[in-house]
Amino acid sequence: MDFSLSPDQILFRDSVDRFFNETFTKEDGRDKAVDWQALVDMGLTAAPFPDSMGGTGANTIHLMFVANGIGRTLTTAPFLPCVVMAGHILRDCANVPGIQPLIEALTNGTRKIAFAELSSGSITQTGTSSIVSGEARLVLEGSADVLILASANHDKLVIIEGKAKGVTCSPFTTLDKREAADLIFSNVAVNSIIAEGHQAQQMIARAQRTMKALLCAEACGAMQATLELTLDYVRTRKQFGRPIGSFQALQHRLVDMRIAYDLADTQTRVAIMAVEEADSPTIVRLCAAAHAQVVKAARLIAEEAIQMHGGMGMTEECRAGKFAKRLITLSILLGSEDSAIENFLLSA
Amino acid sequence: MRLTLNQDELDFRSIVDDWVQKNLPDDLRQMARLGEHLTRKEFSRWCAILDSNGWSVPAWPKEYGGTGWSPLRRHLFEEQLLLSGAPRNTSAGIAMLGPILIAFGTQDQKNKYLPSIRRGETFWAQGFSEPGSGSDLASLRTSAIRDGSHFIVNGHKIWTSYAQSSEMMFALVRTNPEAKPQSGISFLLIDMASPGIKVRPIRTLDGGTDLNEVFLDDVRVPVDNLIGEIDRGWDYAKHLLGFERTGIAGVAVSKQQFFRLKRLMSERSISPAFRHKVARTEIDLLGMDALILRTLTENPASRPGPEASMLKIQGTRLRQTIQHLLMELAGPEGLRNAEDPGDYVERDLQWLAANYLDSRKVSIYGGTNEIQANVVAKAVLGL
Repeated sequence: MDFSLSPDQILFRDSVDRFFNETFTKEDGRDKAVDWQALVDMGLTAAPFPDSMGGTGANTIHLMFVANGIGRTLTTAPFLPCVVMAGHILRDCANVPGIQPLIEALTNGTRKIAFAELSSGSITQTGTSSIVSGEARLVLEGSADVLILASANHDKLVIIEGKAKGVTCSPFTTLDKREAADLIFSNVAVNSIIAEGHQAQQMIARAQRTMKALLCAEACGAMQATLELTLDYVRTRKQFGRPIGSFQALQHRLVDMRIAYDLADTQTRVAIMAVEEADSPTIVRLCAAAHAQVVKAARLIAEEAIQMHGGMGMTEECRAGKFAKRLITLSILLGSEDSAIENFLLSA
Repeated sequence: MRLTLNQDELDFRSIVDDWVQKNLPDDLRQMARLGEHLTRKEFSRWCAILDSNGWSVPAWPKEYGGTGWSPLRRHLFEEQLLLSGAPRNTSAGIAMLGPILIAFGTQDQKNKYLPSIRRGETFWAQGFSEPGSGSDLASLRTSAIRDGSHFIVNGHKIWTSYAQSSEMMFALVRTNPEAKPQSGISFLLIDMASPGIKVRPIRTLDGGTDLNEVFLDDVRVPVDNLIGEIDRGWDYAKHLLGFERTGIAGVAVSKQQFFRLKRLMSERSISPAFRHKVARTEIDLLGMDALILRTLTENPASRPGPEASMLKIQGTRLRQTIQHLLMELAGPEGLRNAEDPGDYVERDLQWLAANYLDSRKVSIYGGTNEIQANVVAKAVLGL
């Protein structure tokens, strides 16, 4: 393994870091449309697409820096659901008629596109068109303009307009203030299936693996920031006439938080490298390893950050709590540590 | 960032492996496989065999018989030796005294001591800890008083590995009781055959007798045996802290023991709960391996720093977890005393409990994990 970055990667990382630090500084009441437009203007919505599709050809390592930045600044703009998850599926079926305009619309920010999968119901083919009936719950950015919808067993992928007849969208916000929605489809007519069978399943699996590695990277960004702000706090908060960070009981726990973060971040980088160059079983295995470490570290760091901030940590206004909510949300999206270990075992 | 080793490194690993398969004596292989205690005799033999190929002191500079390899290649080498079934080639002479002599010794001292360490002919004991000076090492009280061309040394060292079979000991001694604790200490080389030295072995939990107490009673040490300047010994000892950044985590041993665990598991029926625990540990092992490789490759030019203390904390936890899993796997078979196990003992399981007990030392020696955490809090976290 080689963790060194190429000059191009360092340049990209530094410009992404600068972008996030300068753009996403305001803490509350951020306008989501403005945040999204900032990502578009920075060219990040074009990131995963090759030149030939009007993109910038970023690879998973580049996307990792973006995900780090999103976590570090608690950005709510839907980069992962729209650009990573939906974007990778669009990229993989760019040859299907009608997809290229969607890529352009996503890239230039005119339309948001999200990925959803049916938890119940089905996509039924009737001659040249298909009928969708069923439900998709907790869809990140589910009120997007366009949905890429997968059948429950991933053997069919269709494109549905968010406003199509028969689509009922019930939006809500997540614990960490992200847009999501429950979707009900009743006899929605769709024109074309963009992928089916094994091909569709492969496509979805590939995008989900990348998504998982990048969710880990987002959590690593959030953990890094949480650790930094907790260290700042214990250095300045005084009790008994001295900074509480001078107490060994806290110091040793902060060391454990840092070790947990280092492991999570390092294994996330390994998973990212795997997504770039390894075969599927290796990717599954190394993503599962990263997933286990991230979920473990995220809980430790979130809970300790609240504890070390004392009563302040319990307040809505404290930044430690906001990071804790992001970390908990990401952990739940990823799945439990036990499920990660099961995946790791199954991939052996 | 790249997941796989490049072809050069892969080739290098297989060169090391081929060589070990051809040159490792069967009895040493067997002892290493079962986790038996190695004595000085076995260590010396293996060191001499490695030396015949120029590999006994890979970390030393080339002019002293080292290899000139990068830290990454050295790491791959140490790891491959163990994974190929060889015992560790660690001795205080190679790992500690060598680098100090090379950095601070006179030409005469280097000529006199380095070649025999490299060949495995002389064994060195490390005389640092004392009964009253463990974590607070700078409070040590063993005194050395100048008397003409000699120092007269009086005191009591403890936890001295292989003192009973070492020809020499390098020791920290107090030469200036008036100065601040750290600035009155000197670094002295002491011949273990000197009159006035008494060695008392200490039996450890696992039945081992590697450790000793060393009593020094009016021991005469020639002033030529002083390293560097008088009263500067603490600085020389600290030099070692920045010398090795990854070895202290013991990831090679963890891997070797983990493969042992997997091998034993493959011969038994294993509960899903145990399998789950082992998988969790394997994830931590992958993480430890990646942390080490990240340290070695991310900024290859950077100097080793206090981050090594984090590697030590995490690396030793992992090692102890694996050792515990091995004992758990052995079940009641592990209750046999390793040295008196009865006629029907399963040889593969004989040493597992002893190895577990022995592994408890790794979070104590080389600076306890609590001291390491203090270092990290101060030097890495800025607290």
